[in-house]
Amino acid sequence: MTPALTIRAAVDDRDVRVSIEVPRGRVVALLGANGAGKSTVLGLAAGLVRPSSGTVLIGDREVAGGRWVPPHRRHISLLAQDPLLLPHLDVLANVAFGPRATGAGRERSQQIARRQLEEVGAGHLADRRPRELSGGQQQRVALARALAPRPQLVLLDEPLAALDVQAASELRQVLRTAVRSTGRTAVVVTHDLLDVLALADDVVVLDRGRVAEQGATTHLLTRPRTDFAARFAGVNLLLGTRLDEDAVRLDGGVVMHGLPDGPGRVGKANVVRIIPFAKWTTIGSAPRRPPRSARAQSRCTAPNPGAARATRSGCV
Amino acid sequence: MRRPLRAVAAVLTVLILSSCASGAGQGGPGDDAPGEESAPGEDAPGPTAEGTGGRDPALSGDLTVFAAASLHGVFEDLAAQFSTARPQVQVRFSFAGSSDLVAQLDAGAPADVLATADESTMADALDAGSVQDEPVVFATNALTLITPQGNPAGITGPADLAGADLVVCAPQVPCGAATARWAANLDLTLHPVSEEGSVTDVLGKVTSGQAEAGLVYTSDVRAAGSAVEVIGLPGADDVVNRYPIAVTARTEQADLARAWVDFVLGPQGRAALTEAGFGTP
Amino acid sequence: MSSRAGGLPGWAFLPAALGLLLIGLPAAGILLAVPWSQLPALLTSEASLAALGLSLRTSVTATALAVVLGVPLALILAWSRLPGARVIRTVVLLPLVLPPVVSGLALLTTFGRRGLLGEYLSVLGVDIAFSTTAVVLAQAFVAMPFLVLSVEGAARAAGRRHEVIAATLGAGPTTVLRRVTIPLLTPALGSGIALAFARCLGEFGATLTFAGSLQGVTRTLPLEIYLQRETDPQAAVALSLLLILLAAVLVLLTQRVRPGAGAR
Repeated sequence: MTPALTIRAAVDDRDVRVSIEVPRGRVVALLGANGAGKSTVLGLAAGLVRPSSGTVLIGDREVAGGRWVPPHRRHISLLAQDPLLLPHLDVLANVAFGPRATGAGRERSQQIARRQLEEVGAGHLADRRPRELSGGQQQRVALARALAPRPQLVLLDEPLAALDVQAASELRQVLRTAVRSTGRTAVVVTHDLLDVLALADDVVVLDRGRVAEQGATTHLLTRPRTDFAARFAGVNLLLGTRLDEDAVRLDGGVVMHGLPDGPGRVGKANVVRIIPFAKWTTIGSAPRRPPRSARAQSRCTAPNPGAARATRSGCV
Repeated sequence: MRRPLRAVAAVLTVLILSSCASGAGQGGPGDDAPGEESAPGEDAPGPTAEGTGGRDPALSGDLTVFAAASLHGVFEDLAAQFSTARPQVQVRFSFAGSSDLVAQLDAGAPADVLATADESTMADALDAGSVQDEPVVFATNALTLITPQGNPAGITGPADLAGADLVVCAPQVPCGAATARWAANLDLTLHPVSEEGSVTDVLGKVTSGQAEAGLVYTSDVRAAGSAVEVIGLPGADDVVNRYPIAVTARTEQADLARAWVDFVLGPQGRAALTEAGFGTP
Repeated sequence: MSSRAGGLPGWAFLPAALGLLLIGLPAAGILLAVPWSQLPALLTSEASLAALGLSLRTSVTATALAVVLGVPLALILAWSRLPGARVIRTVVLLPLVLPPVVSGLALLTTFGRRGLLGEYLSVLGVDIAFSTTAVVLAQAFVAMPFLVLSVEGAARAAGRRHEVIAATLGAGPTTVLRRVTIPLLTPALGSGIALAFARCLGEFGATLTFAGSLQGVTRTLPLEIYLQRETDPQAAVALSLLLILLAAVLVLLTQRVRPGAGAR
């Protein structure tokens, strides 16, 4: 099957040269340090950046390279860090903007908008003005607006970065439902491991304008090959399934106990965060190495030698 | 903190003083002079040989003359002759519309001599007590009909004016009043496309080719040179404007002022005025 | 006086007060000179009403023209990377600083009967000499910079992030302009329109030089004032009062609008 998005292109003045494919129905996280080229890649997909050479395809339609398709004819949506709702329109009209612009009638557009608002849990905000909403609510509406035109591809550019922890956590759930669970295709740029774990099927790591590493999320995070991925994944997070109030069974079978920091349902996927403490021991002949807890240590897989340096403070 | 204050005050004072001084030396709003300034031929020296005028080297000082804008060229020439004969004398002018000048005098502007383009504005000055002595008419100016160079509308006389883009002075200003009197004398109804606030504006519309015909003073025609063609106007001699001149009431150098008035009325003045297209009484 | 942190030094109030007086006193002076008892008669004379009506008509038309031409110009200046943008901006803002007579001469040498375009226009049967069209042209010429300045500044400050999002939602450039850009720029557009309209009402020099002066056709309020001054200074003062009031209301409007300008 043709990928939903294919980028094989170079942007010379930003020294970006990438080859990326986003399979249909998958969510790909785009990781990388500032200036690694994430925005350029999003721009190539959205039609905000023209490639100096190469080609960009959305589905099997070429949108840049041999021919140029402007952003408004690409059937893609962009959700940025700022909600950027139109202040002169109410919430419903904001969400109806896309369907309306792409030719749906007024009634039909409002129907679509209402349904989309319900889907992201913002149906009750339909008649409000953007300035009356909190940041989290605004971003929720912006998400509904991005999804309303039924885009072939959703581009998420650090969608949670501007929100406080609580709002980010709520919207992350909404995004997970709205994007991942419904089989939509999306590219998400983020700096937050939680976003990656919650949203992404696959990860692409960019480094200085090149693809440094790519693969399935769990695989890449557990077996990072680059400094960046290792450092990114090298925080103390473990995936598992909630057993009861204070226990999670990790994917490998080990059960971990701890304090839940939010409501979660038994049987659902969960993340265990392990906070390291400054206790140093020596294990065998290895140099000093900070373990986190005996149990976590017992499940340590040996990362490849390159990553060992980066994950000195722990392992997953 | 005090010193900057004083500096600011000093600067303001200087600004106010200097602006007063320049206000006296230049025309106020409505100054007609620039239109004539660009006209060719105005710098031609007066025809009169030096020395025929009353030479009086004893006179000295700065003389300020307020004069109607149409006198610009001829008065500048006369001033040069006047000063040559009296090396100690500097003549300065303010050229503007006659009613502006009268209003400025009334408001206390410093001037020694007033020369207006019609008798009614001079009568206003006399009523206001701005001038002393009885004003004397030193020049006349008659209306004439002009067209742009090439006469695009083919105008040969007043009869052709009906279909042409004619520009005249508004009845509110002296040249417009004269125009209205002339038309009434000939029992003509004019249909101008524009009624300008000054004769210079009429001239400008004709020289630029915007208008196809215009009614101006003969003195303006000389200044416009070859940019216009003179058609002439029957009955124009009946509505001449008379230019009076008088010494102001506030002058502190009445002798010098009278010397200028006499000079303008004298043979050199008459010659220069005739040369510029004015009539002399 | 200067005790408040970050406050102005006390002496700064003196030049400020003098500055206010410099502008305020003449305004007060003309108010004192107004012949209040004759005001209604002076303002409702045939000539005054004709001038006022003409001024309002031409100013509305010229402002509309300035909006239609000026808004796209402002947006292009704000957003596109034209090579000569700085030169273009200088040209556009020129009427702002030109003496009115120079503006008039410039128009005359271009649109006049013997001007650059005038000759071609008259071949096409278009003759704007001494017409109301010439007045509108002169007013639009001097008013456009106010509009461009105001809209360009706001557009530049706002950036085009909303426009980018709207485009990805499927809106074509015209839809984006109509449904996103223009509504977002409404506050700036409003103050730009008010300033441009005020400038149109006050236009004098270019009209006098370029359009002529005929009651009901080209003699706008300022030209009427200029002419009345010759014979009836009181009527001139009365009309001036009208113009001052109109200008004050318009400037006040721009200030009411401004706080909302940061809506984005």
